[in-house]
Amino acid sequence: MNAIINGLLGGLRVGSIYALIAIGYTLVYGIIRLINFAHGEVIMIGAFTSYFIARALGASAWTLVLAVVASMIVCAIVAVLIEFVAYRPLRKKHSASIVTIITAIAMSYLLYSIFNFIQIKGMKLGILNFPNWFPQSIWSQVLITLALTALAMIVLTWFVRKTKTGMAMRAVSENMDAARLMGINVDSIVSVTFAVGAALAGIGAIVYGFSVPTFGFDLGTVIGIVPFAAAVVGGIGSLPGAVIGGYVIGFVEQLVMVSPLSSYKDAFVYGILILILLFKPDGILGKNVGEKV
Amino acid sequence: MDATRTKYTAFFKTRKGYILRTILNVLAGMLLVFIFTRIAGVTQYRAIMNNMMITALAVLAVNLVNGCLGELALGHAAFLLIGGTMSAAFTKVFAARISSALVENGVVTASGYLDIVIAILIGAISAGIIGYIIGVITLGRLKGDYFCIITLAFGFGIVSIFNNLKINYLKNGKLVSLINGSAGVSLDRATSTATPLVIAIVLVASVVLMMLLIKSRHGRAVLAIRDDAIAAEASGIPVKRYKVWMFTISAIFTGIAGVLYWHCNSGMSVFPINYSMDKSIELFVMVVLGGMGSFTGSILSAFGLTFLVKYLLINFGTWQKLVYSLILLATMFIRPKGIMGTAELTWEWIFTTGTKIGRFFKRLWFRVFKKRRVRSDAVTRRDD
Repeated sequence: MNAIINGLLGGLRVGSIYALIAIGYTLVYGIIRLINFAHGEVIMIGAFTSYFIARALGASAWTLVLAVVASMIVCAIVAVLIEFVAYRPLRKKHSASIVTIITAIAMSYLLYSIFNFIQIKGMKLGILNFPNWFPQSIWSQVLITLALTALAMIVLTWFVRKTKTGMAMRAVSENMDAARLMGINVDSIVSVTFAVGAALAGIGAIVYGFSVPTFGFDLGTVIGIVPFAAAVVGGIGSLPGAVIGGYVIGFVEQLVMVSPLSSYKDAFVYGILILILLFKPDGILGKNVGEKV
Repeated sequence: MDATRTKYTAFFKTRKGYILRTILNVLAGMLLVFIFTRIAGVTQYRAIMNNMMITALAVLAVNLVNGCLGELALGHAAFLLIGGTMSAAFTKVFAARISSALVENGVVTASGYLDIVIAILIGAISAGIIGYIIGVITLGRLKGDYFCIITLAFGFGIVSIFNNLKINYLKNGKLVSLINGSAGVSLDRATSTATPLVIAIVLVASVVLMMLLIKSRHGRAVLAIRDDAIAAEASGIPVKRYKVWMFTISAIFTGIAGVLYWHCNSGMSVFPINYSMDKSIELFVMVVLGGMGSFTGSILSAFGLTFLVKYLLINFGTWQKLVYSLILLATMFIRPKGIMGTAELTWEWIFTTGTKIGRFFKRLWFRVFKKRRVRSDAVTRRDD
């Protein structure tokens, strides 16, 4: 019984992290149909930001707020830079989608190796400790995670539904050419989308640090792939879908973790992804778009 | 297209040209096997040469799906793992018994290469079966991005299963570990069964088989599907069946590459964790650099990149990803179709280039040593 409660609490916590990160994937896919493999590396950069802030100012509740804001800003800047350097030139050239996917993989590798190099130059080991922001207990972790996630979701929903930029984002994701004809600056909207997704990933990185003691430059691979599976499970391109997918994958993963089959965690997570893709390829909340000739 | 090129193209379409080309192909294949084996014969170069040849085989197999079929598959390292683990387990338990039994009963006279042949068969069959199952359940429903995602998921899932798979067997009344989870299968054999000769022959034979396949009616159907699946379907090509079979064949060849990986190093275990997404992307980078759909390009980039990364940068393990990312970015921005595009190295090209080079040197010769004749030519032309 205790194990199941632990599993459920863990599911809430991990599900929130996955939801925050999955939104980044789903926003970008929804707007330019690109699987943004470099998103994982943005998360790693967020974790580094929070680490350096805690090292400079000490870890406490107030610096946590500062770290969240700083991590969001840094992640957003990095993601916009990635978009500006790598994806925008290809979009201008009307490259095939396979070319942009390959570029995304390349950017992910590039950021990884740059940080890998910095890490080796500046630090002893590849592993750093996440800062201890507040007294650790499973309840405080879950509550603060949920509070941060809920706040982020509310702000995101307000942004997408009520503001003019959010409306433009929805228009671009519906039909990029029509949106351009309506006078929307598509390039800047795409940049804003990358920034919003990356800012949420920045929160995700800090929230991930509540429960996991250490991180390294391979954080992007460790935490980047499963949220992507969550985004697909929920229906890639759909915001509520990403949240639902994140919690589904999070609960399954954590419940498997407390069961005897814990070492098959990955097999279960990807098994769910495979089942969803086979029986409802557009995910739980995705809408079925017919194929055009 | 210039006159020389046209002449050779026309010649190679005739019956004589066909015979000449076949003879040249056989000779070139034998020459390549000879060269590869001689280079690998030097102990110092054996490991890197084996690695280059096996990587080339795996990249060619990935190219069948990513290049010829046009579907992005990012889970092919799993087939390396399946083929390798299954065949290694088989070799460990049964190979010695079977070959000795066959020799005793007079079916074969020597058991030298029998082990590796059986291992290759086992690896090919197991990878082929899994590939067929994955193909049947995915390729009918999914394509494009979603197919890419599901191959990724299958890759992770298979690695996760092999990481936990533990199988033991009884030997002389005590349990011996056969497949040992994340520690892999350790082959504690005195000599490696996949000698450079075996690897070179398998590589050349696989290239021949793949080329024959792509040049055949079925291969042309596959290329038609890559260029326009809807048009191909409208022309009566069973798109789904061809996709599934192409995926299966690719899985089979990847499985064979996996067998060779695990058999070319004696007394060494290969860990499942090495066959995750990074390995798949490594193969994929080579396909992209060489040119998606070009066999020549795949072989060139597999040899070149393996040499560069595994031999020249051996002390810079962390630079590997940097090199890969820079190569990918450069390819995508400068020449998105890769080094070769979809072109192949053909005898027509070799003959044309040879003739051109010959002509250049002939002209040079005249210019340097027989100035008078060149000048007289010029004079006559002026008179005209």
